[in-house]
Amino acid sequence: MIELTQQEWAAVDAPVFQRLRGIRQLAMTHLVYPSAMHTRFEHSIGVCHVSGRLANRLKLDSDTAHVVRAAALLHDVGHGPFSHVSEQIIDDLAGVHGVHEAISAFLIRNDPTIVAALGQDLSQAAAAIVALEGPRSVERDIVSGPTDADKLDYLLRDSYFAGVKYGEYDLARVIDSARIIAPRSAQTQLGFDADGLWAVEGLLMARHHMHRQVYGHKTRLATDIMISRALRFAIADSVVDPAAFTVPVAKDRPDVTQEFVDRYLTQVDARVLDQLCAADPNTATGDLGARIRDRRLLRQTVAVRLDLSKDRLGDARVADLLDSEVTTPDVIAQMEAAIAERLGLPSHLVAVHLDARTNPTYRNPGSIRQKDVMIQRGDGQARLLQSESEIFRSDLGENQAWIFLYTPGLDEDLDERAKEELWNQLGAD
Amino acid sequence: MESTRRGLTTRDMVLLIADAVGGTVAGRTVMQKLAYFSSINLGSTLGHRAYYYGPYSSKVDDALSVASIAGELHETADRMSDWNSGPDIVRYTYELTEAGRARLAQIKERSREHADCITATVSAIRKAIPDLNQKMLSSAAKTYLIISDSEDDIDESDIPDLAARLGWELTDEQVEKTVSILQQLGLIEDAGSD
Repeated sequence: MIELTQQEWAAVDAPVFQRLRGIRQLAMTHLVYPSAMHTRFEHSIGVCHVSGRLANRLKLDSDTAHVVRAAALLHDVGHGPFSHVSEQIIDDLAGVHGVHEAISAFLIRNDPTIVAALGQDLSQAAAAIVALEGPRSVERDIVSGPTDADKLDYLLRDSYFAGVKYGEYDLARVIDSARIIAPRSAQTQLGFDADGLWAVEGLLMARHHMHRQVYGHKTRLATDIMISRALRFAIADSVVDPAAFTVPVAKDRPDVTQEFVDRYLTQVDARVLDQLCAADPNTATGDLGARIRDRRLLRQTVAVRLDLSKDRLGDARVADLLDSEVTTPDVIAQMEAAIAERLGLPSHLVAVHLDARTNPTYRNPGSIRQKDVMIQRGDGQARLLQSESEIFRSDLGENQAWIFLYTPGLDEDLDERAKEELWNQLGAD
Repeated sequence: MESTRRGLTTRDMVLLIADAVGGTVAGRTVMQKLAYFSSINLGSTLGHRAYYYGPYSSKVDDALSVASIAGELHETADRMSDWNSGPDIVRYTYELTEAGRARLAQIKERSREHADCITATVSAIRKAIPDLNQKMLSSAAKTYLIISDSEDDIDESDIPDLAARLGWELTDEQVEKTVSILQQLGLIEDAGSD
């Protein structure tokens, strides 16, 4: 049972939030998994609910919990059509990153219905979390972090609607083991009690398997490529309103304006697809639009394992292909055009897609980064999950070896003495 | 901004930096900070942002990976002590290989000016921080990021508070040292020099 506060209900009733019913969570994934028709609308409500459960577990004060829930509820309000597909295009057109987050933050701060629903203070505080302003904090981690409420919701939701089991994990145990970690006094973060380590491992494995089996499914990638390509052509040819996809930029950052937002918000999946399909069928836009509509999708015909092709291509060439500053989108477009010409195909129907897959068990932090998950043992020390997990570590980590002492556990004093005695027996100085 | 290092990729930069420090860079944090200061002197950006241990760029990490795949850098990893004791839980060392030196020769031929700028930057940093201590480099990079991101003139005494807002701890003593280092590097003016 999901419960919302009156303020949250009022925010849900805002037109900008209702618009999320028109943006499917997984773009055109339903062409592969037919029931994956769910939208950002129900996902956002789910994230609000899960963030509230985390806030309760962590005993955040009531005001902070309200901010976290509001930020979670509205974190996707700035999403464009076809979710992450248009996000990449909008970032590319602006030449900056994080446009969708900037639009979400702008709407939370400025949309009259949202501000009226939440009040000025709450909307400002929620927007700051969504915009990732200030240092990392447990509040921010709940909304946007390596184990945020967003992932906790979408893995289960996407798995359920896609009709697969890969995204399942023990949500109740993950929430129950959540802890506030304070590795630096000025920065708190969301971490987990050591007893929850296996539940967190389950979460990370679920994420990995969903990426491989659903999000990275070869036919789903084809739909993403086709929609992305069609939309780029449509913007270039003004089949769709280019101004609705071109955010103003100032000082190398998105500078969201009301004028831009007014145009942007009119764009939802169905409207964009209609416009693509209405384009001249003899154009790349019209052809791709019709192919998407009729499910005549591009097919993955060749797959080359680059990391196993060093003998054939040479180390330097493989590295160049993996170097995004060398193998730029322009270089890829040239490769596609050359292949298309040789095959006698229109270039818009040939796609080269580079997929650098991250080994989830490869321990490669180098330094503590945003994506690292912290585990807190009974001694109060917080350590990287990779240090504690038997699965998520590289061959740099030695095998774990434990020695346990069992006593009646009568009181803390006995526990301390037992610990001391064990160390004595082990030969500690 | 990117145009000021046209033709010079991030991978080229990490190779030039490795060369400028004598062929071996001990630690990703050290490479991150050297790349940060080098990009500033090149009038460019590598997208460094405020992370735990100071400005961090995913481009630099990616470039190190790709250079290692290319066999231009030899990467070794040593397990360090507990996470709480310092930035690198695993210390990665990068050593220029023959293939790396061959590529360097090409880079220097086509980007002499950039190569000279990076060599001069690293040389100035080594003069200020002879052992390229990663904590000192991190503190200097944090201080510079705070100063350069500030729209108004800021007083040295404000820096610890501004650092705390980014989740960093910089003491007055550290700030005094790092400001002096940044002055030596010519990145900020010496208030007493006029």
